Amino acid sequence: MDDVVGADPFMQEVLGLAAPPGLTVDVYTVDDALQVLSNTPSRSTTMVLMKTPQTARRLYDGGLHYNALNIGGIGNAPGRKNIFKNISASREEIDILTDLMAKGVEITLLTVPGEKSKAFSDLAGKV
Amino acid sequence: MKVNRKQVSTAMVLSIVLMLASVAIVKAAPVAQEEDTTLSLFQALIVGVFYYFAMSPWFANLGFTVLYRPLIAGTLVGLVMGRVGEGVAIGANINVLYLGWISAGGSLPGDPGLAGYLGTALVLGGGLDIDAALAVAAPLGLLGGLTWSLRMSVCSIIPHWADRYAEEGNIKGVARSNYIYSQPFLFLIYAVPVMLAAYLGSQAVGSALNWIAANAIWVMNGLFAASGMLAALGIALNLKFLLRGNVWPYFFVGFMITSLAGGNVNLLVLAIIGACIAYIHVLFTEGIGEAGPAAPGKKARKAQGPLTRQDVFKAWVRWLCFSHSTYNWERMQGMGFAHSMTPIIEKLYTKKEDISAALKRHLVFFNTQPDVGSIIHGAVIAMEEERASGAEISDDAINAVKTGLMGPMAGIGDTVQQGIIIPITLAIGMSIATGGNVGTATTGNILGPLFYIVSMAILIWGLGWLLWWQGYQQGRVAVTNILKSGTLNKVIVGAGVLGNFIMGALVVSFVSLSTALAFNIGGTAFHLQDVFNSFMPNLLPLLLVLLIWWLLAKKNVSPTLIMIVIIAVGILGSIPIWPGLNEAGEAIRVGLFG
Repeated sequence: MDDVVGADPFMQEVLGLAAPPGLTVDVYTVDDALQVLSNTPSRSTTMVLMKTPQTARRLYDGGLHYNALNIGGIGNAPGRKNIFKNISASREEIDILTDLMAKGVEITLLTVPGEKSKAFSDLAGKV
Repeated sequence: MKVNRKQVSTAMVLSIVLMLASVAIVKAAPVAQEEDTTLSLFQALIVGVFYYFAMSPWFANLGFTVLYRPLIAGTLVGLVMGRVGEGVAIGANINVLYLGWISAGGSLPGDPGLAGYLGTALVLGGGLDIDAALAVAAPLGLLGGLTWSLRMSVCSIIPHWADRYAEEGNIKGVARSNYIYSQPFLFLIYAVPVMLAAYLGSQAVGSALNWIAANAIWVMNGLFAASGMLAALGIALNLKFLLRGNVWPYFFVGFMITSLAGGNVNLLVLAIIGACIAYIHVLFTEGIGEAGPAAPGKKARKAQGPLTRQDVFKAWVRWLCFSHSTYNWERMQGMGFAHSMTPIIEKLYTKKEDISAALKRHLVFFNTQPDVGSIIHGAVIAMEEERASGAEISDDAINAVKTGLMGPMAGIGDTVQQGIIIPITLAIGMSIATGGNVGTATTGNILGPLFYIVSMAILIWGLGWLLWWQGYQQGRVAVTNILKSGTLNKVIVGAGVLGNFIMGALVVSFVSLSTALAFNIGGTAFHLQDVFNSFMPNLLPLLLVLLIWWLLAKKNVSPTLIMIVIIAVGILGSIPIWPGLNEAGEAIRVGLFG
């Protein structure tokens, strides 16, 4: 879910085509995603992908109280600091994650499946 | 637009020549004079330099995809020591463990290069039997993770230097910071430790072996047994990706054919049979003749800028070589991207602030699969050209193409390159190298590694340039055009069939496991292995592979743990405390494995 990609048919097509066979990809803007996820809970396993902690916050504040969140990668950009492997975050993003953690969301950092994941709580004090 | 084919081919040939030249230098270098089995300091240095080469940008992306593979590493170390045949066989043996090895998203799960270079040097230099190579090399591969983190962290400093050059609009400076500054550091952390470890380690291995031979010969048997079983781990790791969907029966077909042939099949022939089966499978399930609906917009864009094919090619060569030369946690391939754009920026922009802005625009975080991802660069070059010609294209638009496509292209690229092209080509090269008998061959055929080098050069360069040029000509729609054509899907399905088929065959030629357990029942000799053989030849190797596959795929057991358990079981199981029979049929104590 992403407001930009949710309005970009080209990127939606690319994401759909790039997914491994057997997976369906639906792209929504954040508001639409909130609607869909809260009103029509799917019985199949669904993976919710977001680009930024800001979106994760909007989802949580919008009433979808998930209890686990994995960070797979946040690219470095001006204002963001490298925190773990290829994951970077800005002050604001770290604060959002810390806040979500305080609300009981278990936050992990895992960039590639199969590796050992790192708990955000181990990093929280240091970044 | 005139195509300078000469330049294209010169660059390609140059890379091969460079590689062959290094082989020639090594051949001309003094080989061990005193004893056959010692490794001189000079030879150790060359081994270290080769390991650095494998991680370096100097071979047009054939470093990581070719030199880094144990098959090639073993061959090169064999050349250094004047024992090519053995080197090829050892390399192929070690490579079994890394057939399913994938490095994605900047992770390095084990280090095939280190296992290959150092492992072969220790086995050859220490005078160890080839059959035991894998048990020595496998733990070495785990050490590579240490240098990897160091490299990724330290190289995170360099982008900040490049930022300063970009500020000044210094194109050459940005390029230099990508391809030069990291290299002395990489040389230091790769070549030097491997040189010392190869030199000192081979002496240590040599004296340890002497001690074992004198005091605990069963440890040797343990190393053989462990090596034969570790091959099963290598195959199971591959099966974790291959053994799914409706193509799994081909694994058993490949196994049975090879098993019936007594394990002595020419794997190139088998690969051709497999390819035919794959074609038939795709024909029946996907329909090869039916083309999808003609993709719109496939026509080339009208050339509207000052860029020539030569400029686009120059940019590609920079990417091909230097995409990872300053790979780091902070920006990943960001510097490689900026470097590849330098010929384009130089041609398109003349004002200092435009140059500076363009450099900064491309120095940001970027990470994709370098060959398949080149379609992104092509599209970005087209956007830059339009922008320089006056079109309204914002920084955001260019960034959106880069960040939007890099993930999907990485996923597809890693599946195609690391999941299909490399393992299948390697498996064929390894089989040619060992005549289909990896575990037991004591001398290898140099044609195997040569087959791999040449095939990879053609596939990697061909695919990379093709996509780069398509990206430039069609713009970003090239991505959807190519994905929608359906060809890619057919290739993936077909490769799944071929991959399963070959893995089945490899179980027979790579994995060895048999038992020496025997009992004397009422005066009749009863060998347990005979019972297994009467069910099915190679039953134990097959069961072992399936067991490890189940642990990996269904129980999420880590490969490292499995590796440690295998080595422990191999060595401890070889302690002669088990019931067995000697040739005369009298009861003796034996190790578990026969």
